[in-house]
Amino acid sequence: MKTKNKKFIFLLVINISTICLLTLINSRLSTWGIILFLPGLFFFSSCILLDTPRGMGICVITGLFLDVIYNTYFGFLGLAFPFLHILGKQWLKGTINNKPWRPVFFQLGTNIILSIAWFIILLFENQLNMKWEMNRFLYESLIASIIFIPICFWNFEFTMQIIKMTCNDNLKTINEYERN
Amino acid sequence: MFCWWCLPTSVKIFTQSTFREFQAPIWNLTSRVDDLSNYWGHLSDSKKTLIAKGRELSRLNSDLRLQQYREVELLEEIKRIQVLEKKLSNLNSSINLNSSQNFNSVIARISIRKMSSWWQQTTIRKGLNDGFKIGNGVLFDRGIFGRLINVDSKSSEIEILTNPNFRIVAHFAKDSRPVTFQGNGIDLGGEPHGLVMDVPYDMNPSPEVPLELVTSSLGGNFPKGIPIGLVYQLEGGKEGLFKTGKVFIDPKITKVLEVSILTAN
Repeated sequence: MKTKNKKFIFLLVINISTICLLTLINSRLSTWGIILFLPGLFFFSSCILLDTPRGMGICVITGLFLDVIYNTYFGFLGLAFPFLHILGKQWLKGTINNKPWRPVFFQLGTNIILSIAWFIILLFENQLNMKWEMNRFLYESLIASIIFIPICFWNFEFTMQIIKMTCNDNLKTINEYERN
Repeated sequence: MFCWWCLPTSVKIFTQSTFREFQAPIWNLTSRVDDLSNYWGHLSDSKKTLIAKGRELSRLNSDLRLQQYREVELLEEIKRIQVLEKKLSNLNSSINLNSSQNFNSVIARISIRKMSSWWQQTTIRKGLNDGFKIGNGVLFDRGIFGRLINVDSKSSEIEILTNPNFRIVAHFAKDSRPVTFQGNGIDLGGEPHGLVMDVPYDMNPSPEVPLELVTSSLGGNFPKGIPIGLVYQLEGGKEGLFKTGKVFIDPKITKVLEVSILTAN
């Protein structure tokens, strides 16, 4: 129980720190009209490391935290993350091939789905003639996707290293997490 | 999901505000660290940089000396303006028009920029403790910057001029008829712009002679005549009565480090 709570706290701290770093980068990039919309980075670690109640808790907090930063409707990512957490758990149960790029592409897929969902919501809302055209959305999604892949590998490795160091956890790969 | 929808709005607003308050010290700290690293960076400036800065300073000093020669002329101009202001206030009081919009200006430093395609905001390092209120106007050195939309104890959020929800009454320089200005986002590459609507049909700007859009005192949050942007072209509206056009805003708006918040006097 103690280890699980420790993991919960460390994972939350890692998530919030990564979000803060990403926000600082976005703050600089915004001068060129670019924003990296990367919410797909922050739900998968909890699928691997935590049980469902704690994982859901972390997903709700991280999602709401991101909602405030990305100015999406409060609750949009806060609700989507627990759902993605369940989806991630199911995917981990069902997956047989455990090559390291597979979870990265799973996360990339969810990131693209979240971007499309947000785009569609704003499109249907038609916020005061807001100008977020399809080609702009495609450019941004492409840039975000290219950057997402290396960041995702780094984030996953970084999280595992920290958890291993702090919780004396012997888990090394996704494969081993699944067997546990 | 159902539970979230059933939650009262007040609870959601409270939670959102809590998250914002929680994040504020993080952005405050990172902004201060950024300032400090800037300061240390300048401490280790090379001789060449120092010589260049010294040259720049001497140019500024010579400009200042030139201004001092014009002191008598400027003092006379101040007196003339004071007399005109007095006449204007007499006229206003004679027709019971309260046009005296006095503002106090408070300088605040920007801690974080959140400029996505759908929404453009920045956070500053001052808030309720400095007497800010929601709706206060914000200026930067090239004109109007935005207005406050959220005020927390030690931080505030500014809705930038380019934000699609930013709408104010404006008018063109040398023309008193009101028009509507609305933000229209930042293009890829960092070019900010807005839209001007309800423009009378006799206004005809051109790329050589653009029209300058300025603030109007009708909104109450900004003084009259603060620059918003330039309009190079206007197109006829659907109903044929008014024109609409693109407003080009100074690109420096995306790089601003300090802003001035206008509080009511």
